Amino acid sequence: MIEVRDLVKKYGSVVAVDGVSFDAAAGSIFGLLGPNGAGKSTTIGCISGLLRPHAGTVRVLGHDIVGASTKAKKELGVVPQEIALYEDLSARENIAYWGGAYGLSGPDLKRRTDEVLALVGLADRAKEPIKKYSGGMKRRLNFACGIVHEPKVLLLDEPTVGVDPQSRVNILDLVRSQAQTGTCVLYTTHYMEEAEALCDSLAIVDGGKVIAQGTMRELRQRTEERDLLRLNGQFDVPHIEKKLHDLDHIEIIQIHETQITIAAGQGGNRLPEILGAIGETGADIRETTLSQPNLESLFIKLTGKELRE
Amino acid sequence: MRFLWVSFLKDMRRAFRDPISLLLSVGIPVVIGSLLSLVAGGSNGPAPKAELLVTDQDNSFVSGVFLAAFNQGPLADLIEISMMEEERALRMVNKGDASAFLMIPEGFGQAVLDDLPMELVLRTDPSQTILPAIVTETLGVLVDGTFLLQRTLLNPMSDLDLEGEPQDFALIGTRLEQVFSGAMPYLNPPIIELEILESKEPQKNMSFGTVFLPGLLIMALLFAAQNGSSDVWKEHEKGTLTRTLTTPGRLIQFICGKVLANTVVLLLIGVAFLFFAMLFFGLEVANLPLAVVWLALTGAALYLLFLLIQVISSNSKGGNIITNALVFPFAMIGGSFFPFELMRSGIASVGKQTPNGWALVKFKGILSGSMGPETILPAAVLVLVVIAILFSLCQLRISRGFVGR
Repeated sequence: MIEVRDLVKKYGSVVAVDGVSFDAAAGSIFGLLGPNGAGKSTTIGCISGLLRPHAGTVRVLGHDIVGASTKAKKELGVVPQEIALYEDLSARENIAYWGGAYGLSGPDLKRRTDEVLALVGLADRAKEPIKKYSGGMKRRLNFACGIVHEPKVLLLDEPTVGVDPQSRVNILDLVRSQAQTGTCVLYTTHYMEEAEALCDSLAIVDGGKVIAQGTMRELRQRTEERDLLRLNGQFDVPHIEKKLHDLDHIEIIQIHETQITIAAGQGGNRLPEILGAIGETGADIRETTLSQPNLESLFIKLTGKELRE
Repeated sequence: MRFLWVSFLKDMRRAFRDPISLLLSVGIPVVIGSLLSLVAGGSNGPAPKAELLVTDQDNSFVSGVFLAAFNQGPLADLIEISMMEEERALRMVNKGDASAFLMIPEGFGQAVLDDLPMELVLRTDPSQTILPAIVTETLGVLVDGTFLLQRTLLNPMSDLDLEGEPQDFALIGTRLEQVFSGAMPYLNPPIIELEILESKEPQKNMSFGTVFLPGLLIMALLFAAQNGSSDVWKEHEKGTLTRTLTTPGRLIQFICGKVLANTVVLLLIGVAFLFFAMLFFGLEVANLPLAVVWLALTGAALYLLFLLIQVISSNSKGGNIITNALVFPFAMIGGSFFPFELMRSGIASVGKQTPNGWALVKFKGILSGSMGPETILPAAVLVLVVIAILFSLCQLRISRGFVGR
């Protein structure tokens, strides 16, 4: 449904998106996971036709977003990161406007307006100006305006930013329900937990490039099921590096004078061995964190930095 | 075209959800108009009268005749005399309850008859300007008149003893006969003949309605157009403009919807103002449909002018500062605050070159009937061309540069 090939977008000398390629299929949720500034929103901007790529192609249901933008845009629904709604209009009027922008009118528009209002749980407050709504309600309405025309492809750009936990659960449920109806969902986030819980497949992006891509199972395999051990304190780096090299099946992901990150199979069982080796160097360990293999550990493994840095 | 209608409806709804902005656009010119109306005395109320308080200490025949002159002819409509004691009269003038106080001292009548110097005391209310000035001028004229009367009529009789023997009355009669006989050739028939000619050109109506209200109406359009133009920044900052560009709806229809909605709003303001002026200020409109069309064209052009300034500004603050900085000078020099009729000709000719001043001149022409459809057509075509150019520039700027910010 979405085919992105060698996408490049530059802002002056800065390359925001650098050769990004991926495919997303109908009925699936494809995630774009990366830290802030990784190029996720720029990628969404190019796919939605808002930004003109410098190179590469984007096809939506076979329609080129540059060459046949109107046909491509008709198939797209976009839920932007910001709450892009008219505060002085009611929920019903907002949905009617965005539905009208996608070509809906008359009984179809009314039917779909009623349906999405019920879907996002705003039917009973549909006539109020939305400036009276809470942040979570506005987020849900923001979502509703993106799906009013029943798009075949839905682009969601960090739709849960600044949302309370309950509204986040609601939005994630709405996203799943859209995929279940056969919609191809492209979901960008910097929340690793969201991506893990929601996406069937994803691409991890950093610095405008895809650094890892695949289904959740494939990506987990790339972590080699190794636990991640993070230590904070004061460390003698050359001494510790030498000590840890002597241990089997241990990989130093990142090492500084104040922090060390290590990937180790069966990390829990090997904790005394590792801490003992480090302790022999005279290190002052103040904090120890052991985490199970996940996307975060994959990101750290690939980039040497944390997702939220 | 469907999206144009959707966009138009959205902006109409939003405009009416913000009635305070609309009311301010109309309210400011109405307040200014009301103040001007008060200063000018309005169009329907009674003309203001100067209240002159008088203390007549002389109480003679001459002082009576002198004061009676204030009640003669048109002066009676301008000045109202109230007799009272000096102390109370001074208190009232000092409090601003009367325009002026005149004190006629004892011996005034005899001094006039004897051609002796005499001083009249006039105190005026410093808080007023026009009405005390009328009293002062009138008093000056009456004093001069008294002087002339004394020289022409009373001097020849000054040697007569008005309290003398009965034979002296024959002398008085003879002297009076001589005075009037001498003056008769000048008095009957009068050596000056007045010929009253009726102007064949219609008299220019200089009422408040015709002079001030059209300018105030254009001022209301200026304010409303400036206010409406700032909305493009709200759309940009909220992300609704960007989101619209991700839909199949075309930008040209989006902007067109905005221009149409704002034009309709401006037109509603204009028409409401026009009917208000017709009902309450006696504004005469020679061709109402043409006036409405001209208002629509003017409103659209002013809105697009401000919209262009907004979208080429680097941010919303800059856009609002520049447009506000233009609105007030435009209104001041463009004949809205001060009508061209009351301006110095040099300033008026500059003001008539401002967009609103130029539109105002044509609008007044339509209202007075001096400009019909044929004469206004070239100007209307010019406005349409300007609208098309401004629209294209706005579209170009919004699609290239404004949204990507």
